[in-house]
Amino acid sequence: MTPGVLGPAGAPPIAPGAGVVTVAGIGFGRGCPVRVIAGPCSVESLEQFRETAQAAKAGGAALLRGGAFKPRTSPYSFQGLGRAGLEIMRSVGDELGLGIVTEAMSPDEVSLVAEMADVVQIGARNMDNRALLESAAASGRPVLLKRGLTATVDELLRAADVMIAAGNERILLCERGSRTFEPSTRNSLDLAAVPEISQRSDLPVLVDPSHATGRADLVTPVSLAAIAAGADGLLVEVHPDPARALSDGAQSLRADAFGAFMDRARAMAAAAGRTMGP
Amino acid sequence: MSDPTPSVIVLDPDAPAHEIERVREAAAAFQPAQSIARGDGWAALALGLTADRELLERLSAVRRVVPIDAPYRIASKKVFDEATPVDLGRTDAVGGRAPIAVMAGSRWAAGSEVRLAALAPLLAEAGCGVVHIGAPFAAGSGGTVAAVRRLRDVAHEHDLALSLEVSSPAEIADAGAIADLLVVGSHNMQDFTLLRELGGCDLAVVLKRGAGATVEEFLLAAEYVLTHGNGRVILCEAGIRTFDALAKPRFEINAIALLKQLTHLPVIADPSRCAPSGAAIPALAKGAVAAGADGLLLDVGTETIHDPGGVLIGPETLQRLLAELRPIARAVGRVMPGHPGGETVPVPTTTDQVLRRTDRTLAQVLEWVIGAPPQLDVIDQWRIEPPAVPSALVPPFEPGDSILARCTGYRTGDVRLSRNLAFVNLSRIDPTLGALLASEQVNLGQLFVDPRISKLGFEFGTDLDAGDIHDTLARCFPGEDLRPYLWRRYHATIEGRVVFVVIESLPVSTWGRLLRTMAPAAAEMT
Repeated sequence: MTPGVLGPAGAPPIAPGAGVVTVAGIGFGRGCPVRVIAGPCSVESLEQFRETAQAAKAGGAALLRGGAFKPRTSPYSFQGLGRAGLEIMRSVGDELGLGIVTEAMSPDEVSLVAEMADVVQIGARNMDNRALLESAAASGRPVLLKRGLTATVDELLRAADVMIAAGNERILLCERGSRTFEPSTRNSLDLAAVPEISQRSDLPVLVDPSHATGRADLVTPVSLAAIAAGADGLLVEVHPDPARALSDGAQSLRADAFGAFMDRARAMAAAAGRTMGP
Repeated sequence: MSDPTPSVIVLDPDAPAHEIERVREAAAAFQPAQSIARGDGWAALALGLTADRELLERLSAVRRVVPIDAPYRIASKKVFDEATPVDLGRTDAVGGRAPIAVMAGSRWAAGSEVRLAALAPLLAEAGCGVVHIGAPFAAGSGGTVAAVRRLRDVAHEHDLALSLEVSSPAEIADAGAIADLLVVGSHNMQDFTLLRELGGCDLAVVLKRGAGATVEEFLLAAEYVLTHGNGRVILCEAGIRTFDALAKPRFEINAIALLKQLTHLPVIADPSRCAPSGAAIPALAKGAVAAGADGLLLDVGTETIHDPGGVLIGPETLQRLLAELRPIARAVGRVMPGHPGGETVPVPTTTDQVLRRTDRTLAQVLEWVIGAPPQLDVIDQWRIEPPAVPSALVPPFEPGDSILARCTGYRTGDVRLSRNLAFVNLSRIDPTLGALLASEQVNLGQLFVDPRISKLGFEFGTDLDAGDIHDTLARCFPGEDLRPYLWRRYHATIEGRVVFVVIESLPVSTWGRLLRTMAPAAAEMT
C-alpha cells in the first residue's frame, strides 16, 4: 500500500511531508500562522469580486476564494459564471497579488481550474468522487478537500489517501460541518474533528464556519472556537451586499465587517499562542 | 388591550408580596404561566397573550411587558438583553460577566469519598468552583444520605460547591437537601415531571441537552423549570447524535454560539463524552470558551484516562488547560476564576465605560477589551517653552514651565482605537525620566501603572462639548475624521505634584463596532 495519511485511530501519524503545504508562497499547517481564505460564495461580476477581494486583502486574508462552477442543490439556482468567473478571479488575484481557490466539480473541469487557480477545491458533495480526486491530484496544484456532508473523519482521510496515492501530498483538509437533525443551523460543525485530524494526519486542517453554521451571526464565535481548538486556518464567505448575493447570502459576512472580524480572529490567535498571517 | 402574541412581564424582584399579588391578579386575563420565575436579581412571568401594557406597566412591581414571538418565552434574550448570572453562593456565579465557571465531574462510586478527599484540594487549587458527583440516589447507585453528606463536607472544606445529578423526582428531596446545585442529565432533558418538580426547588439547575434534542426543544425544557418558579437554570451542551452511530456524540459548538444569541441564561459545555481522544478535551474546552460558553463541566480523575464513559483528565492536564484558557477567555471579554480583579472589574460594554474605567490606564482597558496589548503610535512630539505655554494648561501647570507635548494613538492592526495627547511638565520631573520620555524609551502607559502616580481631576465629554480639546485634537491629527468621539481629560501627580495632563479620545463608531462584536447584546452606543 502506498504510504498515506491514514493510520489506525490512536497510531502515530504517517507523515507525508513536514506538515506544511505551501500555496502561492504561503505556508499552511504546522508552525505556520493561522490563515484565512476569504471571498464570495459565487463570483457574480468583476465589481462584486474585486470589492470583496479588496476587503479580504485589507483585512489580512491569505488567499481568495470564489465559486465559478457551483454545485447547487437545485438546478434552478444560479450555477455560476464558469470560465468567465475564473477569468475574473485570476485577474483580480493578480491585481491584488493573492492566490485563488476555486472548485472543480468534474474531472473535465480540473485542467481549466488548475490552469486558472492556485488551489483546486473539491467540494463536500464530491469528497467521494474518486475520478475527480485522482484528476485533481494529477493536476499538480494543491487541493483543498472538504469533508462530505455525512462523511466520517476516516472517510475524509481515505479520500486524502486517494490523492496521496496518486502522487499529490499538497492537500488542505476542511471541516465544514455535517448534516444533523438540528434545523436552526445549516450544518453542525464537528469541532472535535480538528484535534482528531491533527492527531491522525500531518495535513493542515481548515474550518469553514460559513457552511458549518449557515448564519452570518454565528460565523465569528464559531471561527474563534476553531482557532482556539487549533485549526490551521479558516475558509470564510464574504460578500459586499449579502442580502443580494446570488448564493449563500445568509452565511456571508459583509465585506465592510471583514476587518473587524479579522481583528477578533487575530486577538484569538494571539490568545491561543499563535499568530495570524496574510 | 391584548393581542394573541405571547409576552413576558418583567417584575421588580424586590417588590413586596402584595404588589406582586396585584400583578398576578391583573395578569390573570392574559393566560399567565403557573408561577413567577425567580432568578438572581430578576423575576418574570410568562403570559399566553400580549397583555394590556399600559394597564400592567402602571403597577409598581412591573418593569416592562415584552412581546415574544419565539416558542420559549422567559428564556428569550428579548426579555433580558444582558446575560443573567446564576449565583451559586459558595463559589463564583455562572454566566453574565462572572468568571468562566469550572465544574469538575467525579463519577459516583462506592468509595468516592476517599477519591474526592485526594482530588478536592487539587481541584480547588486549579480554579474549579464546583465538584459534580453523578447521581448517587438513582436506582441501583447505592448512595446513602450519610455517605453523600460526607462528600459534601469534603467539597465544602475546600470551598467547592457540590453538584448532584437527579434522574427522577423521587431523588430531589435527598439530593436537594445536600447539594448546592442539581444537574438533569441528557437522558432526562424531557422528563417533564422532573422538570416541573425542579421548578419548585430553590437550587440552581444545570440542564443538559438531550442527544436528540434541537436547540428549541432544549430551551423549551428549560422553560418548564422557569415557568414552575425556578429562574436559576444553567444550560449545558453535552453532545448530539449524528449519522455516525459509531462516533462519540458530536460536541455541538454551533449550539453554544446559537444559545448565546437566543437566551440570557448561562450556557456551559460538557465535552467529556464527546472527545474522540484525551487530547481533544483541551481543544473542545478552548473552543467552547472562545464561542462564548460561560463555563465548563470536565470529568476529572487522578490521571487522564479514556474509557467507554468518556475522557477523564488528570489534575495536571486540568491545571494546564485552565492556565491556557486565561488569554482565550480574555480575548472574548471574560476572565477565568481567580483572575485578579475577576469579579470587581467588569469588562466594559459601552464606549462610555471604556473611558470611565479610571482605575486602569487606557492601555490596560484596551488590552482587556481586544485581548492583546494595543500598539502605540507616537505621531508627533514637540517642546513647549515659556512663554508659549497655552492658557488651557495653566493651571495645573505654571506659565514658566517647560512642557513636552506628545500626540499618540493606540491601534490594533489598522484600526485606530484612540487618539491621545499628553503634556509632561519637564520642570517638575526628574531630568532622567524626562529624557526617557522625550526619547520615547518610556511611554506614559508604562509609567502610569506605578502606584506612586495618582490620576485625578477626571472630566468626560463628547466631541460636541470638547471645546478647546477638539481644536487641539484636530490640529494634532490633521486629515483624520475624528467625530464622533468620547473624550476624557485628567491630570496625574507624582508625590502630590501635578506632572501630567492627559487627553484621550475614543472614536465612537470604531468602539461601537468593536464592543458590539465582543458582546453584541450588551453593547449600546453612547
